[in-house]
Amino acid sequence: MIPKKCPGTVLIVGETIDGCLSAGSRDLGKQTMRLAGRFDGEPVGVLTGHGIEGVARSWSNTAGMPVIVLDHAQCRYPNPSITASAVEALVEECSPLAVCFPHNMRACQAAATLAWRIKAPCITAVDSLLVESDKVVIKRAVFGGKLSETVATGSRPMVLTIMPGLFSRSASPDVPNHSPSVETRHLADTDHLFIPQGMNRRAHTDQALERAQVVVAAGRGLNGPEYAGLLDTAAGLFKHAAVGGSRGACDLGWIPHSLQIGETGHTVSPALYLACGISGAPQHLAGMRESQTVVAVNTDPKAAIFNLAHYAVIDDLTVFLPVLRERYDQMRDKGGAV
Amino acid sequence: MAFSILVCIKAVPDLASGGALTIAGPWIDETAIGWCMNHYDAHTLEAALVIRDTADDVTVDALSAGPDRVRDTIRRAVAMGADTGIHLAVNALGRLAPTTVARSIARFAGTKKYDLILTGAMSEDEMHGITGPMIAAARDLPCAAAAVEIALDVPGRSLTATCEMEGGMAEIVRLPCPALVTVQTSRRVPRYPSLSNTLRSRRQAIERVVPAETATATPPVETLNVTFPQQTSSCQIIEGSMIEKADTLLQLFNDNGWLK
Repeated sequence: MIPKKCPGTVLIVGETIDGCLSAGSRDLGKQTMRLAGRFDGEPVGVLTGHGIEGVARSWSNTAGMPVIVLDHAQCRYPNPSITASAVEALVEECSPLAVCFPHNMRACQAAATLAWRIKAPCITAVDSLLVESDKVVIKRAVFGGKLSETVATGSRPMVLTIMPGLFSRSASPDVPNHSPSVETRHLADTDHLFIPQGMNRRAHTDQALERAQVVVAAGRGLNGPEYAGLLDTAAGLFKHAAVGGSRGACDLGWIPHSLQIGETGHTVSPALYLACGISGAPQHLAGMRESQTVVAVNTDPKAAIFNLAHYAVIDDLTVFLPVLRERYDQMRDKGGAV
Repeated sequence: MAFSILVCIKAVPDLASGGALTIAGPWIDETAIGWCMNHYDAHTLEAALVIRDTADDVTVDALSAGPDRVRDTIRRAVAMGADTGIHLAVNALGRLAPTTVARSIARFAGTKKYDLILTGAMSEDEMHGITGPMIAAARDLPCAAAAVEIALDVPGRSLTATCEMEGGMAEIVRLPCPALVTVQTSRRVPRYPSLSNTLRSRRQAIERVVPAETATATPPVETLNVTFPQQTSSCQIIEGSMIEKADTLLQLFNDNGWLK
């Protein structure tokens, strides 16, 4: 299906979780045409899972690329070990320009393993990508988003993990109007060292954050658990609001872990995201970047959250939120209008 | 049956204690900032110490690769409870690429026959998230990434790792030992150094290992520059007194029909 030693190929590696396309893979699929376009290459999708032809067909049609299904019973849940080995064989087969994974920790594992074995450069959490003469110039966040690093490599193939929404702000190119091919390859039993046992979904049932019109979220700027009540007070201003937290605030125990927003927690896209004391680490932005309006309250005017925010209030949230509540109450006492 | 754990630790610029980043050349000014243990690695060391607390005959070695400044971080790891501190004195100027660090640590680990190698899921400064898996690839070890729980079966020489995924999901995997696991931060707060361990960390020598120079096989990734992200023009800073700012926001919320 893919031409042997076709040096213009860009491999787009997605994954399924129990028969469903993962959110990161869906997003990567949407970016495929633009990503391959940057390399002036042809995208070929690779999808791991078990019994997933239907999902692969739909991913292939949406992204406009042929898809190779790598099928194995031990790929029912993401399996970076088998993925790295199977993609290594595909790299051998088609000598691609680049291998692109969605950015998450297990994809970083697969990417790092693959890159080590094929002696290719590995660049993770790619925020933007340009090809300048013979070099690929990539921007990625470092120091929790406080700085943006620009790196370059001239070596092909390169192995990349792509941040969600990389090209979401640019116009979408046309997806070819034909049904690309889907080919299934059944993988041999080669890996006995990574043994998937199952999936724990306990925190995945509550969808209140996903459904809320307004999300009030706090980060380390909350300064302590004693201020967590301020979030509920602020959420009480709104008709349909829910409270969440960054990983930092959840790890510190200030906000329950089940309410974590970000790469490893909930992904939300409310009408209003009120970010209180959140610095804006890329892992957090991954979970809220599709919010329609972002208002950020932070004492640090250089906080990365302001690069995504529409409105900024440079203040300590523990002082500002009570004032906000007080003005709201006064407004309501006067009968409505602000 | 003895069980040995290697914890790999990185010293990173200390921003938590108020240090600010300044740019010098293509990277930050490393002379203008203090250094501390990578937050993810502190959680990793804690996970190792919990394993040692709950099983018999477990030893925990803490290793950091880099110039002499990393020795303070190694000492901190011993003060937290690591049995041995190891300084892998990688002789290189400037930043060490993840491949260089992975190669050096993999070579060192090969001489020691560790049952388990632990690394942080990523570093706070460079945020690659690949050094751990590369050590595993170099040693051909099974690997699990971003674990929030590790349950060890010492007689069975295996472990079960609960690896965090998106949306609150977690994948549970079993790995035979020797294995490598990268550790995600969790609710378990890294312990504060005890007085006895602090005293021990002061008198106990840090083992210094100078790795053999190895030609790098991987093509380099060159850092061109770092910049403070540009504020997007679409971000409007709300000015005025605290009350005026609150009123401006309430007006915005009201106009959109979000308020009760």
